[in-house]
Amino acid sequence: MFARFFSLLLPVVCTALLLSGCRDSLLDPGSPVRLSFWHVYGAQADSPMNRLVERFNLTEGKEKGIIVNVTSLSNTVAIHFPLVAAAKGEPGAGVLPDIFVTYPKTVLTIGPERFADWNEHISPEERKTFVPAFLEEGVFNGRQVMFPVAKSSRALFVNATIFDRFSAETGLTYDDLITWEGMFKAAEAYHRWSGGKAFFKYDEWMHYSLLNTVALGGEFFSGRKVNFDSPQFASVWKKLARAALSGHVCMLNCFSTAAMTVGETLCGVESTASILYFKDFMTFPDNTHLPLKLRILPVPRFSGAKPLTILAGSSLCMPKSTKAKEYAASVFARWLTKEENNVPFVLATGYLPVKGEAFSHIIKADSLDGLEDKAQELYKTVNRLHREYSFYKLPFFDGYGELEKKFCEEQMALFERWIASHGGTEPSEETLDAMFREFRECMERP
Amino acid sequence: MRFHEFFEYHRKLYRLLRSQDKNFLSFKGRLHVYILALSTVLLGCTFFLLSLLGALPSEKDGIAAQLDVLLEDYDRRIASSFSKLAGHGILLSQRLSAALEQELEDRNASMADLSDDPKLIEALEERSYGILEQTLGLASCSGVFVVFDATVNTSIPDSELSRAGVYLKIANINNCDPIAPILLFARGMHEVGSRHKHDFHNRWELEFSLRRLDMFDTLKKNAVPDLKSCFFFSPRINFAGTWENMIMLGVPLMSRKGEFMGICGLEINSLYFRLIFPLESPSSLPVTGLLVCREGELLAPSKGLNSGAYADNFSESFSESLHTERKGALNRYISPQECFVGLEHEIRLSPLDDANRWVVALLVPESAHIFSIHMKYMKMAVFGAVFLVLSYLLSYLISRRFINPILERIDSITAGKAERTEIPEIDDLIEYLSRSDASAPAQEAQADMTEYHAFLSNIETLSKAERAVFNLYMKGLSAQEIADHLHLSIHTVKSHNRRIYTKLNVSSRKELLIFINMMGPAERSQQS
Repeated sequence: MFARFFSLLLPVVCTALLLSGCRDSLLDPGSPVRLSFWHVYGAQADSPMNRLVERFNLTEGKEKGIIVNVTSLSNTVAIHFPLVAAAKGEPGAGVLPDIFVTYPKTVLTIGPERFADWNEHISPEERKTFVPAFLEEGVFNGRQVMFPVAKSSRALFVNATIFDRFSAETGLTYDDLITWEGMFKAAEAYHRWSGGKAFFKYDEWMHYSLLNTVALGGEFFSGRKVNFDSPQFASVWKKLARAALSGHVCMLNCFSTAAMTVGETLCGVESTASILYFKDFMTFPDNTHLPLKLRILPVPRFSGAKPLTILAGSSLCMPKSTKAKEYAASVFARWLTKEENNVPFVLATGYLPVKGEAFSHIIKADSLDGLEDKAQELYKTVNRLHREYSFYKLPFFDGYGELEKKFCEEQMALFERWIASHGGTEPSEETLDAMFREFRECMERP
Repeated sequence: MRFHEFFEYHRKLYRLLRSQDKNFLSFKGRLHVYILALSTVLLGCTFFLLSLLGALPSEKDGIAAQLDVLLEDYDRRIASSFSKLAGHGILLSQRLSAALEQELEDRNASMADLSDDPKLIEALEERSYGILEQTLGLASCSGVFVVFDATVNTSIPDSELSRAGVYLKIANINNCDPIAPILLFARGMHEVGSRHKHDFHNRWELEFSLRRLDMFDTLKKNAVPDLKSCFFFSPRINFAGTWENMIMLGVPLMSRKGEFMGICGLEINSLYFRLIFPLESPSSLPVTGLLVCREGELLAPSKGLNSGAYADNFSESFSESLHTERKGALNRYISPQECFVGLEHEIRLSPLDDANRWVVALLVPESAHIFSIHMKYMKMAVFGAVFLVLSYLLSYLISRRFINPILERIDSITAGKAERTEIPEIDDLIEYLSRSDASAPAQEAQADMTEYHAFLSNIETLSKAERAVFNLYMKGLSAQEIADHLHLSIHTVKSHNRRIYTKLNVSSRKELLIFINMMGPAERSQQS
């Protein structure tokens, strides 16, 4: 009797469920899933990502029942620490957002196992449309923990408005900025010409030592420590130290863009994405203004070094959450990387697209019509990097973030102590040897 | 259960109900109809109770009531927070005014000497810096500023629209250390910013442009020593070259002699507004909260800030003012792109609000509101349908379960098997019939010959199938034997029986058999 009863009941219940559930099973436009989002695209400038999020919310998000709320805008350096603090549950740190963009070092510090796997939502066919190296960077223990949205390289940004005057009076040209030897020579000349100003700044000081050591054939890391026995590292570090202690290098704790904007320095090695942060004019102490003309060049290299440049860029991560939130995040990520959304975004921000076909077009600089002059200049340099340089992938490992932070802080503190006590006089070779030994001790101290 | 039986049964039930012929309504059918009717009444009562308890979707009792409660809380939080902000602004003005006056006195200078004197401006900026920094740590805001009524260079074009001062902003507002927030130096002299080692904002400028700071002139015109009566909240301002929009509080800087020295104030930017005034709708509807200016029948999102759903750049998305229609429990807010429904309260932020009428509003996209009501109706309809279908099935099963044993006993009685059952009423009936059987021959004799002749003539009206059944009754077969013989179900035979009884005008099988027994051999062979 009951078997017969249930055999009749089953189709009725199924019909009822069908009637009540005729929609995307995890999403409901009437009760949208909300995703908090921390990103790094335009913290102190216009934010093309905010506009993209707004468009998503009003189109696909609205249709499917997803609302993305940007609750923090910072930069790739600053975002690491609050994310780690939130993941560790430190007092006052708040909670991790539902999605965020960061470098692999953050994922390694937090623990890749705490993140959801994008592959549960991205099909193998979709994966094939991405540049393989960009996807590989986000794979941890076989899981796609980071999802590429935009990638960047590094370039030398020169304030051409001032450099052209300097060049006319000193005879130094942009060709001198191809090598580090030329850069240090120009830095010394500029220091004299400007009455004591620094010539250049490097946004991530450890990258200077890392990239140039590797480009000269050395090993920068020994296991998970800095290889202080590398003669190449010792050489490039001392050259930088000499310039820094002589006042030729900008030591401000800020991005090169900010230092260049206020006239603290003339040029800076920074991410191609920095282009978003440059103003169109310079302001002088008497409140007069001049248009800011930029010249964008490949990052200098030492004579005899291999042409290497960093290919980096943060990726999208989602900590493990509810199925609905994870699915909603994948819908958003897929939408962000659609060519019609991704390409205008990367062109506005100085990044590179993540899908194969779009990447090929842009890196060949064959679709730059309609872009601002400085963006055209940037992508021509990117094209040159692609032709003449090899892209170098940063060797992220567990503890990399802390090591990098310590490297920069100890180096900066060492230089500042010496400058404070010696007033910017040029150091001797013995002094540089002693400082290198002291730096090693600082780094090897737990 | 075989499906053809199931459908056959319901086909008959349908026909019975259609024909309204109560004589045809079997026990089972009647019980089925009664239970179904009871279920329907119960369903009706459930809906009635739900409507009495307010659980049925209706605009008045649903979203409007929810929004009203939500708006009251949102309004109270905003009013309280902005009032505290005004307090901090007034205190800041008093401290800055005193410090600047002291600095000018120490240097034997006055405000009139400030323009074109970079050293004096730098000294005043330096003096202000610490006070601004402290205020930023104490007040719930995203930035703090002071603007002097002076410029560093009066000889450049548009110098009358440029004013010196200091502007500090909190970097990365959602992740800042509440004790020692990371600050950005957004306006001020380069030397001052470098000395304090705060990062320069990417959009740093030496001075403020009054083109973007209308409130400077408003406050200058209305400045009086009683600061409580002359502070001002500006409608939304964009921080030039960035995504940041903000509402700024401005308070005049007044010397002890009543001289206007400039203005100071605090800012709340769009991101900070969203973070400190979060909005969660209890019904999961996408509710957006706004603190905006009202201009007649127009609500101007581009002049305010917002939080809640669609908070990211809501104001930019709906930059055109929303026309308001006040009808029913909810207002309608109409823009070319989208319509909203919602509620609003007027709020007074400052004594100089005459130029700007501020309102706190909660808006829900009309499409989402309608969708939500439709979904509720849909759920009710699905609930009702499932309830009815289940009731129907249950009534079918219950009627079968309770009536079938009775029918089986009746069949056994008609087949002459007077066995006792477990149903007392049936046993009583069996006993009664047994007693009646004893007097059956006498009854046969008394059969009315007229009815017998009518019986004979009505045999012609039987259909072919009914005739086959009738012939087998003449041969003395029982109903079950007839079913087996003709390869029919017992139900089909019973169905034929009912029609045979009707056509031959007999009321029972017993009466039928009496007439058959009265038939002579000739009549039998003629009929067969």
